[in-house]
Amino acid sequence: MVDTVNDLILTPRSPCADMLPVTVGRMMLTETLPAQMWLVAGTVPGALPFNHAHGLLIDQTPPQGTRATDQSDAWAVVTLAGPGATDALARLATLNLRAMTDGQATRSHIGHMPGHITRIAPDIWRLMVFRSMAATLVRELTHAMHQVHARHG
Amino acid sequence: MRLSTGGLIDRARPVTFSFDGVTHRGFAGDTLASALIGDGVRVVARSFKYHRPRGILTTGSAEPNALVTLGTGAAQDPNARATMVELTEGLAARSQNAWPSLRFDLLAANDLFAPFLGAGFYYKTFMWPRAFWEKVYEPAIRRAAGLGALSGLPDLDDHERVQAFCDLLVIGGGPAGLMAALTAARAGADVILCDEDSVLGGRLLLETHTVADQTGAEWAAGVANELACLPNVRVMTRTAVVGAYDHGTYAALETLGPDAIRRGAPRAAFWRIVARRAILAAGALERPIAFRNNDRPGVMLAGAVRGYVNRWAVSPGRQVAVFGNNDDAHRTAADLLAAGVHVAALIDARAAAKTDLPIRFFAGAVVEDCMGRTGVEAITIRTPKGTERLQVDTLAVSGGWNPMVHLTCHMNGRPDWRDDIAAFVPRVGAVPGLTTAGACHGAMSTHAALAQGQQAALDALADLGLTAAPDLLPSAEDAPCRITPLWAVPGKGRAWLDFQNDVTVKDVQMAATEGYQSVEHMKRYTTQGMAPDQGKTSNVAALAVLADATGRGIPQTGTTTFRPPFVPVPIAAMGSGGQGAGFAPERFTTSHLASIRRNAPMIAAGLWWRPSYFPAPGETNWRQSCDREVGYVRNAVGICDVSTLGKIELQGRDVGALLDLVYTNTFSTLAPSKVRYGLMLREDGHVMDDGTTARLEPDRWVMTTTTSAAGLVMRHLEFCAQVLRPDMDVSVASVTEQWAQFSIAGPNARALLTALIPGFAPLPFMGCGTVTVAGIAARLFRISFSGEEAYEIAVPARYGAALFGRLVERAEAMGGGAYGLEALNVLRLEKGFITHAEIHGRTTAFDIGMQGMLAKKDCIGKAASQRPGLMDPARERLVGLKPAGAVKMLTAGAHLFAKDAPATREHAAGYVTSVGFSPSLGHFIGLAFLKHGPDRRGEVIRMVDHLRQIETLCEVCDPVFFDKDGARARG
Repeated sequence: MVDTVNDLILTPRSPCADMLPVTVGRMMLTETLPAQMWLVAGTVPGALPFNHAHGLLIDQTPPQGTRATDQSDAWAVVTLAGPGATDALARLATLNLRAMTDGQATRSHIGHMPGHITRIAPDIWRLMVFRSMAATLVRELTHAMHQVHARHG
Repeated sequence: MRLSTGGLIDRARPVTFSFDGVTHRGFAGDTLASALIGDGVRVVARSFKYHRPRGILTTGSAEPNALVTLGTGAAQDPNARATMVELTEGLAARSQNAWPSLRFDLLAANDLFAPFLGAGFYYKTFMWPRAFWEKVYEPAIRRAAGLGALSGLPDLDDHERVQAFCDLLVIGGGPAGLMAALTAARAGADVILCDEDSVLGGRLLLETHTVADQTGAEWAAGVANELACLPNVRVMTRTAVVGAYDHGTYAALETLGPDAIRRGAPRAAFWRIVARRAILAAGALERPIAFRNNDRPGVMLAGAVRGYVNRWAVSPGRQVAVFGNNDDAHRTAADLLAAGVHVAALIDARAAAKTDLPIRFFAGAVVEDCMGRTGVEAITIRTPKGTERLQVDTLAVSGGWNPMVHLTCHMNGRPDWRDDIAAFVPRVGAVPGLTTAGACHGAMSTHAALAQGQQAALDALADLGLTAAPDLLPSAEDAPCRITPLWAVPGKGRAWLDFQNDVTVKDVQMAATEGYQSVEHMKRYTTQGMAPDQGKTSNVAALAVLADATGRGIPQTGTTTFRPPFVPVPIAAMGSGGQGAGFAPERFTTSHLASIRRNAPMIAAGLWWRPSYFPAPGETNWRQSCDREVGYVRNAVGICDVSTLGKIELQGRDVGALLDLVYTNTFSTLAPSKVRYGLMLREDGHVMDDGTTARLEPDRWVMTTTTSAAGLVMRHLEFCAQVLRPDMDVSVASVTEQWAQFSIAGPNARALLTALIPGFAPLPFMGCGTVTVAGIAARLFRISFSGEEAYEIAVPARYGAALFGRLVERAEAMGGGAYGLEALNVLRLEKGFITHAEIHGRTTAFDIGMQGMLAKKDCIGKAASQRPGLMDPARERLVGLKPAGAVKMLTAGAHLFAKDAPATREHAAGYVTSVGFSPSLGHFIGLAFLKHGPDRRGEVIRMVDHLRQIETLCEVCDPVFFDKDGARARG
């Protein structure tokens, strides 16, 4: 027996479904779901630096005529926030986090994962890794949060 | 023994601990070493080679003798320096390297054989009979080797790795380091201050010096408090900076304190600190003097003896003699007297030495022997008037101080010799961005340390663009360094240089006699300086002895170098986070949960986890599942998650031209809505990858790659676009993660899609397009890896899990279902389709029979692929194999031989790359590479698997076993 096409509903699942939020001490790790994400070629206003030839446009439609590739489903996006968040990230990122300014974004490694790091505010970070690596990201960030929390109580 | 007053211990907090099962008592603030001394324990270890009883020699990080094992089971931690172990309640420490016990060690028999066990003995012995080496000598030596023992179990304790950045890294928290950190911090620099100890103060904690009219400890505590309150300072105690690397990068090992560990913190943290400037204020290490039997328990460094008295209120003995060649040694006699410990004598090797202390004083005298096997009982003093024996239980020895140059040598620097202090000092500029201050720099007084620490900070601040007015320096002693070198007391008997590796003066002299005159050769021939302590207390004396023996001065003899780590670093700390699942990121598909729920065994394909097969109830063997799943695809419809294959989106006017460059065949002629199979070569003419590329729209293409080559191909395309043809209008983006993609394969595939997609229009073979599924825009490709009519459907990954579920439901309703990697492999084998098992990096298009795919146009790798030898018909070339005799099994990795040839290397004719049991044909099939392969169809050859001990006669055949004309895929 075959279902009629009208019955078919595909329920979406986010990359970190069933894994978040996680709270450790005063730090929180939550999933962020941008409505849309695009890799755009050339210079596009509002796009974050991504690589030598592309920017990353979040929650904005690419202007007419832009060469754009849909990345809305390609990344697991999380927000790490709270006192100690920067210390936790310092266990996984080799950047000079304390020298970054609010709004500054860069590609870098998070642990061993290719990623994207944006500093929203002094202890608030938006982190992105490949969707398929969401579980690894959550596990490693959670571990780092626990390590920071255990030091300072 | 414990002194009744004094010390920086907390007498209100007693601590109980055990050593070798015996209970002892100490206080908070003790180290394991100070508490053992306080409880009268003299023998704490047996030496490495001779198993001689040994006692504690020093107070700090350079301790060579007192290595103990802590912890049990998986937490067993060998070679812990008792001088660095903080005493905690219930600590249980055990001695090492003795059997059956510390007091009665059978291997002490080695000491009797000492004449045969000198330097390099293993180059001269254990040679006969030859057979004994592997069976007798080596196992015995291995069992006896080493000091402590590992548990052999995986370390389950948590460790961490952290990154930090700062303006100024100050290494060492003694007077120089504290002054440097304070000066820089007050000027607003971002400072990190590291010290190995749990308390800041360095040498000030071990001396009775005053600083600014306070005790050294009080002054240090005051500075520590100020630093702790400054927001721009991070104080890291219990942290040893272990290595200096490029670009101002330093590695440090932090041991977490007992309080933090109780709260669940990791045991240790490995830090990578990047500093714009660094100051090494690591102080100096005292060195002993070598004389006969100078390794007896109770012989200790003079600075350590007074350190134990001053900081921990313990005296190693009741009748202490002091022996040295410098003024500093006199301090020990003075401090002991002040603490009420009996000083039996002060022996100064310098004839012109003087003292005001009310004790027996010998000038121009040396200690030439030491009696008492399990502890000093008496010493023999050689004076200008003759020899005298003195009854003592402790001998404090000082041969001078060595600035801690180690970190400055980590980038292949060598230190400079200074005659006035008879020591090596760091060479300026040996580590860019790092300066030295204080005793580390060769300035031995407290005042000099404070002054140099301040100046070093001011210099660093100037480099950093910060200004500061120097504060007034606190007052402190400024005694000059007066020393006359004395490295070894001449005489009979063994005199120790390297305590940890049991190397004596005789060993070094013998090395020189045997021709090992370079300090590098002496080090390796004698093993001096090669123990875990890296020769911290023996290097300088050993090279001085070598200099003497070879008639050179110390500067001419030179030093060996130092390499990171400065102290032993557990690999668990360096590799923290990398154990078990943490070794590499794991990648999961959107159908992962569904696979787990169906009990599919998951296998690693690169970083991805993919299902091997989906067992049905009642199935007990994987082959049953695999055969069934192959049947689904051949007879009904199968669903497989193929999301892991690389997907690269290319946009631009010149994509066709770029593809013509990277593929052997032509793609610029591909029409929109069409898909083509392509072969990609490396520059050297060998196959890099194969896959299909679809032209979705005139200027939008999607390339697929094999799972494990996705990153490689992406890099290759970027290289071509950025470097080879930057003139091309192309934009390349990875979309592997954006789309969840599923194969729908089998005779019922079209029916399934018709029911799934409203208004589904049949797609021609190798066609593509966009379709709508449940209102969602999806991509559809008609391509086949199974040889059946097949499609791949791609939806945005958020819908992947749901779509997989729906597809499998519908397939099951049609007599089919999900299939995994085993069935995927059998299906493609039956069709002779290749994977990276065949294009493994050393095969060419010619080898796999795809020479015809090289179009007339040029492409990357074409020229190299046409080199002589790469087109030789005698090369190992792709064939199919099927069993032709009684044995029916084929194995991948087996080698091929002519039927009557011996199965030896000289007759090897090829190898098997992939095998599987074909349910469609009822026997094993395989792909292989065979010399002259395609020309030998019909021939029966021998497959020999030497590892698995399997031999099969095979018939060489067409690699396409099933549906040779490919009609089934074309529908």
